[in-house]
Amino acid sequence: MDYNAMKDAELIKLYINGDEKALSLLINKHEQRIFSYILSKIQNRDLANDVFQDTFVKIIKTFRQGKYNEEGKFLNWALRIAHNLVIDHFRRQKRIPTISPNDDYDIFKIIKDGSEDAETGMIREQIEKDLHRLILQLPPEQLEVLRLRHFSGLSFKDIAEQTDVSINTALGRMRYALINLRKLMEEHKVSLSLS
Amino acid sequence: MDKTTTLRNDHQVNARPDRQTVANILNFSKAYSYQKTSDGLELEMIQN
Repeated sequence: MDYNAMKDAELIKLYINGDEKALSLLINKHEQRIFSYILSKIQNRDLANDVFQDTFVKIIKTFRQGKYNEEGKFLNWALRIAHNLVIDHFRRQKRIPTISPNDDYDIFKIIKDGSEDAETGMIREQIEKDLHRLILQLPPEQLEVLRLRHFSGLSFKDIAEQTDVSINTALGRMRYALINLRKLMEEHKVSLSLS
Repeated sequence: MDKTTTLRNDHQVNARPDRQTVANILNFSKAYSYQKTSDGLELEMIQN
């Protein structure tokens, strides 16, 4: 069997069916791209080796658990896993305390900052994704007020007019949106701190 | 003709993981097993 001529999908199929050599070849084929990516972000060879190992542990588990989507391109998928693990690494490294949300802090101020380094940028990107995912879980009327207030910058008077409700109702919806968002953050253990 | 200089670290661009790291991954693969029972319970095992 000529493993070297095989496509990723064929190697993966062989591996899932118990051929360990296929995994070895898959690693050999893509290790340079994946490891270089990790090293370029982390800038530490030992830590990059750790993240590379964790990346393939996740890959192996996904294969064995029958959760791999064959339609996707393996390398892109593997790089996404590596990317997420790099972000996890930076989060751990920065020892981010989980904020206990209260009425006094504005989560939208946290995700707006002037200058940042590459690591902070990656974490910010992840935070924005997490936050966006949570916001979409809000009831529609709360989501609408939140969008109009924080993303469109409308006053509550304008929001009230645009959504055909009283100012008090608009304010109430905003309040409940923030309360629900904090609950969702706690449930999903989402931390919004960058430093 | 203008020349464009791209700054990059070739050591990083061509970097490969340590052989020990790859060996660790292959060992993990051999030791790892996964089962899903009929009632939906997922079992992950690492054999020594």
